[in-house]
Parts: sequence; C-alpha cells; structure tokens
Amino acid sequence: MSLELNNITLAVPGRTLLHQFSLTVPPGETVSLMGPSGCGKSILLSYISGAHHPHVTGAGRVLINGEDVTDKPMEKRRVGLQFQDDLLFPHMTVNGNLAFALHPGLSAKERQWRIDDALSAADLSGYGNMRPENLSGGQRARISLMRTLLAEPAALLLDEPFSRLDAHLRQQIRTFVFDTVREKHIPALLVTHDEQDCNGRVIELVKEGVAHD
Amino acid sequence: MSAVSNHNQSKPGYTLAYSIALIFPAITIAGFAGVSLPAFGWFPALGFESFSLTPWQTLMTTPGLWEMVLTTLFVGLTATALSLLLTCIFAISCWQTRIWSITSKALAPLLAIPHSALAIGVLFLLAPSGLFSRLLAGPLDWARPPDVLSVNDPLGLSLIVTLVLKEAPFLCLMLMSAVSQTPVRRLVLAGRSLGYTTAQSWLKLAWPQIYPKIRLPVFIVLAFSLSVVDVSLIIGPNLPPLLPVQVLFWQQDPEASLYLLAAAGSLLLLGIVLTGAGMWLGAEAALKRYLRTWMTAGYRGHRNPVLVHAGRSTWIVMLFMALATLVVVSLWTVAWRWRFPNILPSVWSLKSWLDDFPRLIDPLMTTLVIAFASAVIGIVLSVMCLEFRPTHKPWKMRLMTAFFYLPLLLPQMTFLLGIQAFLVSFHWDGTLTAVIACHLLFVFPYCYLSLAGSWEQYDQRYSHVGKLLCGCPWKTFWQVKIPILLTPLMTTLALGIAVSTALYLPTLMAGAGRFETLTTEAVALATGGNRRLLALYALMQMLIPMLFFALALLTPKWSQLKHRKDSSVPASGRTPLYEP
Repeated sequence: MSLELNNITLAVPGRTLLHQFSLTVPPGETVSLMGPSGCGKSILLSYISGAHHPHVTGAGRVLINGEDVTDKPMEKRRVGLQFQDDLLFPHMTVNGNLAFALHPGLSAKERQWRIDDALSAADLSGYGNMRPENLSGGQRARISLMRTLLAEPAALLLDEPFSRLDAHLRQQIRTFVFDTVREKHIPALLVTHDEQDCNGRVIELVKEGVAHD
Repeated sequence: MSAVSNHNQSKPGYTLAYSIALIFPAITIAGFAGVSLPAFGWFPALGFESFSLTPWQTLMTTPGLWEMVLTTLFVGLTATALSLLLTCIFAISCWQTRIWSITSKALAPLLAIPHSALAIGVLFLLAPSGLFSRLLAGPLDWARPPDVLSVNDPLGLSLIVTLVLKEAPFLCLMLMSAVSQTPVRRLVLAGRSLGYTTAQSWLKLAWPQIYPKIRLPVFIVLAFSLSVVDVSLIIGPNLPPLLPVQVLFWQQDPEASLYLLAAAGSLLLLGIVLTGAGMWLGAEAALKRYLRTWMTAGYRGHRNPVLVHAGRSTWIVMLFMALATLVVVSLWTVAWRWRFPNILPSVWSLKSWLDDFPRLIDPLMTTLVIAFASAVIGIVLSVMCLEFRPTHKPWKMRLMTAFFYLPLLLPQMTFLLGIQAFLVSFHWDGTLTAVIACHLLFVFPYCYLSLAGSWEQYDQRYSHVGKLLCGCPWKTFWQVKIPILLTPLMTTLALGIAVSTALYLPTLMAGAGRFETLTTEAVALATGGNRRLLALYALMQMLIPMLFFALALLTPKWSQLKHRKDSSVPASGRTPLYEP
C-alpha cells in the first residue's frame, strides 16, 4: 500500500496554494507536513480525501496503491481522515460508532469480535456501551482513531490530530498512532504545527509564491 | 456540501433544488395571473368569454367601498405599528431581566395558537358579555351587558387588539434571534460608559442594528394584517366588513357575475397591500431622516424607573391577556350555566364535551390529515432543497430564500382566488391534493426557514467522516446526519402542523367547501350563538399544535433517557479507573 501525489496544484479564488507538489509515502511511514496557517496543508488533506469545498480548484493526480482515485467520490477512495476533533457520532454508543466503520457482510459474531479487539487495542475494553460524551478526551481520541482504522483505509490522513490533547496524553496517543501505522502497514500523512509530533520525514510548506521554488 | 451527493455537487442536484425552490413562488405568481383575467371579465369556466371593464365599474360604484379601503389600511398599519412598538418596548425594558427568559419560553406555545382560535378567545374576553365586562360589572353595578360595540366595532379596534396579541409575540421571537446575532451587550456597555442610560443606548446603538434584521418579518406582519380574513370574520367590523372579507363574500355569492367583482376587488386588495408597504417605507425614511440628528445630538437620557416598569407591565399584561384567552376558552367548554354578571360559571358540566365532541371528530381528522401530510411533504422538500442547494454561491442561495417569502409578503386572498380560478377551470378544486398543495404554499417556507439554520450549523465533517468510514452516502445521511438533526426536524414538524392547522383561506379556496377543518368550522360558528361548541372548536385548535410542540420538546429528553439506560451498563469497565 502506498500513497502517491503527482504534480498537485491547488488554488482558491484569487490565490494559488500549492504548485506542482509531488510526494510518495510508502506503507508504514508517517510523513509530516508543516508550515504556516493558510499555506494549504489542510486543504491538501481534504483534496486527497475528496472532502474539499467546491471553490477549491485542483489539478494533478492522487494515487492510492497505484490506483488513480482523483475523480472518485470520497466514499470510494478508502482514505481514513482524522481531525483534531474526534467527531464521534453523539447519538451512537462507542460500539455503534465502531460498528459503523465495519464493512457490511461480516457475521454478527465477527463484527463483535473486531469491535472488542479494537477496544482492547485502545485499552478501553468494556467501554462499548458508553456514550462518547461520557468518555474523557484521550479515550475519545483513541476510539476515534480505532473507528478510522476499522474501516480498513488504504491511506491515513491526520489533520492536527493531537492539538486538542494535553501534553501527557499527546505523547501517549502519538506513540499509539505511529505504532499502529507501522503495524498495519498503511501510508500516513500528518499535518501539524508541533515539531514534536513529527516522526520521520518532515516536509515544510511555505506560503504562496515560494512553494514552487 | 451535501451528505447525499458527493463532493462534486452535481448539476441535477442544483436543478432539483431550484425547481423545488421555484414551484411555490411560481404558483403564487400564476395565482396573480389567474385573478387578473376574471377581473377584466374573462372567465370561460363560468361562461364569461369577453374582456370588459364592467367588474371594475361595479367595484368602484360599490357603496361604502372607500370606507372599507380606508378601514382596512387603518387596521393593518395600526396593528403593525403597535406590534413593532410593543416589541421595541419589550426589548428596551425587559432585556437582561427574568421577563426576557420567561418570554423566550412562553413564545413558542403562544405562537402555536392559530389566529382564529386566539380571535375567539379575545371575543370571549372583550364581548359586551365577556369576561372583562363581567369583571367590571361588580364595581360598576351592571345588571346586564353594556350596550356597546366592544367587538366587531366599525373601526376594527378589537381586530387590532387581536392582531397585536398575535403579531407582537411573533416579532419578539424574531427580535430575540436578531439580538443573539448582534453584540448588544458590548454596544450597551459602550453607550453606558459614555454616560447614556441603558434605554438610550438601546435605542441609539442596538436598535439601528437590530431593526434591519427584523424588517422582513415586519413586512410579513404588515401584509398579513392588511389582508387577514379569518380573524376579521370573527372579530372585525361587520357592516361594512373589511375589504378582504367583502371579497370573500363576493366570491362565495351564488350569483356568478359577483365572482368577477371578487377578482377585481382582490386586485384592489393587492393595491392596498402595496400602498401600505409604500407608506411604511415612507415612514421609515422620514423617521430615519428626522432621527439622525437626534441620535448624535448627545442627549444622554435620565434614568426613569417608572417608564421602565410601565414598559415591563405592558408586556406582562399582554402575555397574561394571551394566556387569558386560553383560560376563558377552556372555561366555556365546561360551563353549563354562566349568566351575565357571574365571573365564573354557576353550573359546570362536561355535557358539551360528551354531546358535541363526536361532531368534532370528522373535522379533527381532516385537520390532522392535511396538517400532517403538508408538514411531512414540506419537510421532505425543504431537506432536498437544503441538501442540493448551491452552498458555494451565497447570492443564489439568498435569492432562493427571498423567493420563499413571496407567498408571505403578498395578500393571500388575491393569489388564492387566482389559483382557485385555475383549479376550477381544470376541475381540480375540491380534491385533497389541491388542498394540501395550497397549504404547502405557506407550510413549505416556514419548514425551510426553520431547518435552514440547523443545516448551516451542522458540522459537515460528521458526514465526511461517515462517508469515508462506511463508503455509503445514503447510510451516512440516514444514520449520521438525520439522527444528529432529529430535534430540529421534530420542531419543524410541529411548526408545519401548527401553520397548517391555522390556515383558513387555502382550505376554503382549494377545497370547494368539501373539506371541513377545525379552523373553517370554528370561523363559521363564530357568528352563531353557540358559545360552548365554539369554545370546543377553539380549544381543539389550540391543543393540536401545542401537543405536537410538546412532543417535539420531549424528543431530546427521550433520547437522553434512553442513553442514561445505555451508559449504566459499562459501569464495570469504568470503575477500575477510579480505584487506587
């Protein structure tokens, strides 16, 4: 599994954010993107996932596992997107949130087994029937990540996923994420403001005009 | 962005949104076309096949026409001005007090009361033998009801009272939402730090920013007050009636040629509404000019607690009067003997509930069917519209919203008469479909406006994440977006039902007299003498919307209850964390 960006150019009305940006992330690696606000880091992630706003215009190709997904609707891209907010669905239990991500066609037993497995991987066994609002921030972040992983994404996009966590939790979740990425052998792209978040390759994006130099 | 379509918002999606958005304004405009032809003598369905000015000549020579026109203008403008004045008084005297928060809770049930039911309540309060004159009878030693026209008075004063009771709370609700979007606290603080009193700061700093935000509702109130029919039939002037009522009489007359007169009269009514709006705009401009120097003249104002208390009392009296209508209507349904000077009935009985309630079941069912159908269709159309509208083109969205207001800003009597002319020509009148479609003209805009805010506040990332997780936009829409927005959807259902229950003219015009709802029956009974039966109808009219609003309020509580049960299960998984 790999994530490949070929000559991506992104623009919003009146401004070019990225010019001919190319990058290949091999499986199991987490590449970090850094740069000032407004340089287009988050827009790049939403472009890769297909969640970008209609006023963003883009050119270039996104390849996942060698397959061109640029023209596919977001739900067909098999991309996992993780925001700084956990975005757990408030009307569902933890079990419900996790089950939502599982592929259909699994037997009920298999589903429950995978959910329990995910819960224990997140060190939260027995929390399945709780509501997201009754969990702590760190617990929610772990459940949210497990939910993303249960959908078996071919690539993982992380949009400042640690910035809402306090220092102690941050280290714990960070290690959890990088270990999981390595273990599951998925390519991951991380957008962050904090150098301590980075693990491996770091790419600095600069503001418009300089980005393509 | 929408949950159903993917990120590439599709052309067919926009087309769908536009066509839904345009259907109802188009029907409204078609209604004006439909009324213009008969107004000039052309109505083949009734055998009039040549253009002429006869309807207009007959209209102009109608005795008392100008009296009707002037009273109509007087009632509409006065009711609107008083409602706005009361709203302003409320804003200045009650802001940041407990009355404000009490009002914010009391408004929803108050607004759910149909106009005609409120009018019946006011009739029971203000009539010569009504509750107020009973309260006065003791001290003033009256043995029989005074011989004054305290309702149905020729100047329409009792009608104005009723309209203000209904419209001032509506404007207040709009005011409260405008206040929440305006930094009133900061503005008033800024004013006070410069030495202005709170009231002066409100008037000079906050109000100029708030009025533009409630201006559209003010014009809706104006158009409604100038062209109201049902309330006017119950409590308005009788001989001559106001113009909209007279138009209805002409339309209902078995003499076919009077239909043409009704068409011409309804166009005159349109002229009155436009004139009224023009006069309002003129007054706005004049006041703005006159007040500009006053605003910056530096007058700081004096603290005047008496005036502030007077303002608060006015508002409380108004809320109590609205509540009193509910009480007096309920009393009449259980009063068996209630002779004049008695303040309470002397003999109580459930007889009218037992004897007369069976009569209500048919109109009740008809009301519920029409209300439920139009509210559900209104919500489905609104959701489709909101899902597919071009969110990245704000001006197109604003234009769409502006169109929705069309049926609310123009006189119902005029375009409904035109729509009826179409329905009659194609033999579609008197069908349930036609009645529901006509109700949708009014139900749909309210559903849309009520849902639009929640749709905008919804965090789109829930849908993005949902789609990425399960790979299915439909599943995401039904299992993520709809459940998260369930509470606003239920409130909107209640609102749609309330709007439909209150409608009188659309049922009458599209139904060809074949559909009896609680509202049409109540209005028909209002001129008769059976107060117990009338009270029963009015009470049911009030209870239906309230019931649905109560159910909508319970929705989030219910799901909370459910979730408390759920979260009690994993206590075992939770405890280890708190154990040393």
